Amino acid sequence: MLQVSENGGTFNLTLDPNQSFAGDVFQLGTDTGSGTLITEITGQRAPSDFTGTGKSDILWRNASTGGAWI
Amino acid sequence: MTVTNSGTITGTAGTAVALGGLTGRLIVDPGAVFTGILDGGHGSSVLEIAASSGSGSSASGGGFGANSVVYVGLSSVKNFSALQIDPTATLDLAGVVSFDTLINQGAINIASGDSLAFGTVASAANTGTINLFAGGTITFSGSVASQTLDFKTVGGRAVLDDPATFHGTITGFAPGDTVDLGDDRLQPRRDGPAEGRQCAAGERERRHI
Repeated sequence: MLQVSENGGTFNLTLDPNQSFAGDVFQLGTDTGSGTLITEITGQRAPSDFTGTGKSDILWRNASTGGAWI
Repeated sequence: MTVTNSGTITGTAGTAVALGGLTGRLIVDPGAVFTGILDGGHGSSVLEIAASSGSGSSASGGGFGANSVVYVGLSSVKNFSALQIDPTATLDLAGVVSFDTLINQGAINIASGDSLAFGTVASAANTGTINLFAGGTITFSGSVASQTLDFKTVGGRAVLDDPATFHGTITGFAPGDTVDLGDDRLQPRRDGPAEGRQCAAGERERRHI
């Protein structure tokens, strides 16, 4: 369910309960007239996510040896 | 007045069927062939897409069907108030047209370049499906009863002029698809883009715009 509220009014858009939107974002924008567009964009990875966990990682580098660790 | 066509109707003067001033019903069986315009007349006429197991045929003109699918070239359809899709029937249309009312218990396919608009979608015993393909547009200017709006391929566009009364279920929505809330009541802030995140099962997110 995507619920939108504005100016004291609320309405729901029912989406497929079997469809996963994990990590995705619903974006609102203006259409060519006076209406509003709803589009979906895929979720963006966290910066410096070297391991693919969805969270940022810290890269440690030994300046003497050149070795690196996450 | 009811006209049922499961064969071929050829309009010698460019019109295949004209229902005149009466409120009539044109029932189109799969396999039906029209050559010429289908005119609903001046009443509140209904274009009914029926289902049967009849063998299909191909021809140009207002519409023709094959198996359980009825193909209608909408540029040849005018002045019908309502479109009715019977259970298990499928309408595969081409062109741009609008109806005041939709009663859908079957399926409608809207492909690229095609556009279909309805005033309201009435409730029915069976939940119908509208299959929206890339480049196709469906517009609902009024209330929509239980209905499945399926974005089959990326690039479809659905316009909901009264989203508060939209009681359908949207499936297949993906990046590249668009839902256009066509009213002027909902406006994003001008000081930055608004975003919404889909809620997990059982959860709701409220966006204040």
